[in-house]
Amino acid sequence: MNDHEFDLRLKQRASIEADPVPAGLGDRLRATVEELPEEQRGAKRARFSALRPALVAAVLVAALLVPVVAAGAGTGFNFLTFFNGDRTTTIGDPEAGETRERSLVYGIRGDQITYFPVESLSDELREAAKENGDETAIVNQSTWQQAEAFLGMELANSSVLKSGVQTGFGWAQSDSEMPKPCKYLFHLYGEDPSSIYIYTYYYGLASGVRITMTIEIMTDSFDESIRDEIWFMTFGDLNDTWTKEEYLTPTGLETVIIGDMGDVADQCRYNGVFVLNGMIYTLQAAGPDAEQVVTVLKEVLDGFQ
Amino acid sequence: MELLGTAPEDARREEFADAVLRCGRAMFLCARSVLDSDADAEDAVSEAVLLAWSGYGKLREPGAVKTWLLKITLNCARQARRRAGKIIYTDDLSPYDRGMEDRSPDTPLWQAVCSLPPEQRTAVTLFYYEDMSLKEIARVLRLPEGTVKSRLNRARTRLRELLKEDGQ
Repeated sequence: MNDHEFDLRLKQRASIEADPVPAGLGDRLRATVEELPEEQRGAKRARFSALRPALVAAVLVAALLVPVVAAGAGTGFNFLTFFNGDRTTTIGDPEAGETRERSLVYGIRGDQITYFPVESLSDELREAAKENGDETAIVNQSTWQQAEAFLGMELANSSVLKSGVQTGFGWAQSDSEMPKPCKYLFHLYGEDPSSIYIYTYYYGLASGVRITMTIEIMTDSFDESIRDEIWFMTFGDLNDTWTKEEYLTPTGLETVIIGDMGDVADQCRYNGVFVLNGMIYTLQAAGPDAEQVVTVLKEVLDGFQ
Repeated sequence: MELLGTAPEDARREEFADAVLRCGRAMFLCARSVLDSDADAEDAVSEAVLLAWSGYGKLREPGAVKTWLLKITLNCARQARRRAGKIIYTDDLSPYDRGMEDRSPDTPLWQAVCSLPPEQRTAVTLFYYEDMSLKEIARVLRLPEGTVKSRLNRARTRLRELLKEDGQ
């Protein structure tokens, strides 16, 4: 059987085999499009009540809600735009046991994100991305200096983290993988990487609070046709006790702290998020005592110059 | 060429809804080729629909709407995959015993596709399940057609083994 015959046979087989698309997808999509919010142009105004909560994802809410905070002019820092992060409710069909909760927390204005020229990245990073094609390339580096050299740009860091105790962490792309030990993990998307995620170290600080830092960097390779004016981030599956605090560091860095009093091993988790030099930083602090976790997280945030 | 942005909103909404319903299956399969579960893939599709609607006014080529929707879906799925990544504290490391989502025994082709390397999966899904051309797939993946072709070639070899359809 030649390739053409093989292709025809597989296409036929794909059409007669049980459909991998879940039942009811069409109905759910129809419900989504029937309740799309009013189209927004120019000024972005919220129509949150018009959205069907069960199907609203944070990405669009971030794009539609009225900014609550927009400041930072003259500080040299990019500002975040915070939103009234009302919760969405359920995704999926509860009767089919598909219930999943998702919370909407905040969004970041897309125009605060810098799309760095791919040419500004190191040759080493670009080669790694090329080798991996359009899929995720995962590269581990051993030291902060190596990580910066691999990126080809300087990264901000907190003086508190610099003086802390670094340990490695395990990384798994999904639940189906065994975690691999890492120290500085780069995720590169695309042959000319359109986005780069750096998972840096976590620290078992003296207080026992653990910190993980993620830096998200976009490049000008990101498809212009799907760039939105509003960028977004989400924290999903938070429980009822999530909190939000807008926190201004002594140096004028505007951050938002999202708390998730999760039930994972009795750990409270707080995420401090900010945009600095056009990159999105997320610091997750975890520990058993909420007050202590927030205190440590703020100390770390204060350490960014 | 008519600018979509000039159409009355009701007509645009209807047009957009039609496009989503027409492409919904492809969007799901595209997301599912990246993500491990149907639920995650459907979430990514929902995100993509809403994100696409927010940017629909910018779409200048109505004929390219499917490619455009699939690009957005692929991006949402990749974001979701990144968010799903797990950071495990070294001292907490223990073997994971969770596998991929159970799959129906009556979808051997789909199972075989899902077992392909990630960089081949989306191209294969769009080629065999959506009957898209190399050119269309290349646009979605933002890759040269030759790259898509070579990925399909590698995938074809693997699928022949997996499905025992070597034609001999």
